[in-house]
Amino acid sequence: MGRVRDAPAGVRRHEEIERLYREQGSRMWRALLAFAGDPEVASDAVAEAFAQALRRGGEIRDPERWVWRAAFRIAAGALKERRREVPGVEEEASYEMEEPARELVAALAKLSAKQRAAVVLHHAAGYPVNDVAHLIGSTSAAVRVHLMRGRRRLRELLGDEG
Amino acid sequence: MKLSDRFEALDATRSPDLWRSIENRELGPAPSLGTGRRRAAAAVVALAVAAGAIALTARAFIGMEAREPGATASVQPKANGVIWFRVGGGDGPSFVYEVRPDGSGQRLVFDSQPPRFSQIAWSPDGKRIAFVDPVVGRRGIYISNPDGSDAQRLTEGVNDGWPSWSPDGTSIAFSSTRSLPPTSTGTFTAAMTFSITSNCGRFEMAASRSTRCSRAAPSASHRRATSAGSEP
Repeated sequence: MGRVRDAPAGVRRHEEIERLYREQGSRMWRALLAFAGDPEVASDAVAEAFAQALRRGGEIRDPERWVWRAAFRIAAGALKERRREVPGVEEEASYEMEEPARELVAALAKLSAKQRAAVVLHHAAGYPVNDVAHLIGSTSAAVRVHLMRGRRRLRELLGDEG
Repeated sequence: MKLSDRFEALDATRSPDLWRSIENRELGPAPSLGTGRRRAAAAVVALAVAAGAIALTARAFIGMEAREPGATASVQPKANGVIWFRVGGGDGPSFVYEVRPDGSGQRLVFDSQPPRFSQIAWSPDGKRIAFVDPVVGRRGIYISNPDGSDAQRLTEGVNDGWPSWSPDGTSIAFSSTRSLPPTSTGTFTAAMTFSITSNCGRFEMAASRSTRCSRAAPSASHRRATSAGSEP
């Protein structure tokens, strides 16, 4: 393995992945920030997923789906590695975030990993239920249950109305 | 407040531009996206490919017929320009070799599995090396004696890299994607320096600069590593 710049990705695929990053990188970073509660984990997961995609070039049939799945797997692995079963927004967090969003991320940390992934991918990333199921390796029915329970728990935690 | 309003607020959070760091990134382990038999089969294939790659890169180097694209080189000061370079990349198996500028004197310096020494930079006096340990869980910038002994961990940044010594050997500059203090926005790739003499990290950027020695700063990490009395 070497640096991505030296990877044998074709020029067209390289441009395709860069376009994918320009279109979805910010959304993915915010979704991962909500999932992990840590901007460094989010940045590392996004960067690693896109770097791995560049490295693989034409081997990947569906770069968008591959990168999203890879980024969430990497972030989940990083959280596991840190033994942070309940990630949360640290008070010293030095990135700018509006208070309602900060409270949301803190509440998301109290959900199970699957509930959190389902809620984030559906509500923050905008994926329909079927796509969320593909991305997290689950079924649509299970994702609907995760969403329902996750939203209910979030409303309880945040005191929100709906 | 509605949940949808909170997600809209989340959408307003500014994200960093990571593309340059993506293109120059040293790859970590491949994410495991398969399941069951597919995952097991993929692991077998990956092992076979890795073994083949190691054999090929080692043979290519020893014969000086080709160069491993991922190799990074560092010229040893005060040693007639002897070059150290790494064959392999990311956190896969790798070797650090020494060679004279004329191609003679090839010598294996580090055979590290798992790898440890990446992006090696010699101190100006040739007595210490700075390097990046690329393995997940140990990522960060270190300094040690040239034989790898007396290693000190300077940073714990997951994306810190490319250390470079100051001419007087008292500080190390490196690149990083780290969060900025609240007065700035987002996370970005920045030049940072770590002062070995004062144990303090400095964040620098073109428009503004700030210094801090808080939880996330290299100094605190360094103190933790050294006070624990354990070599990382």
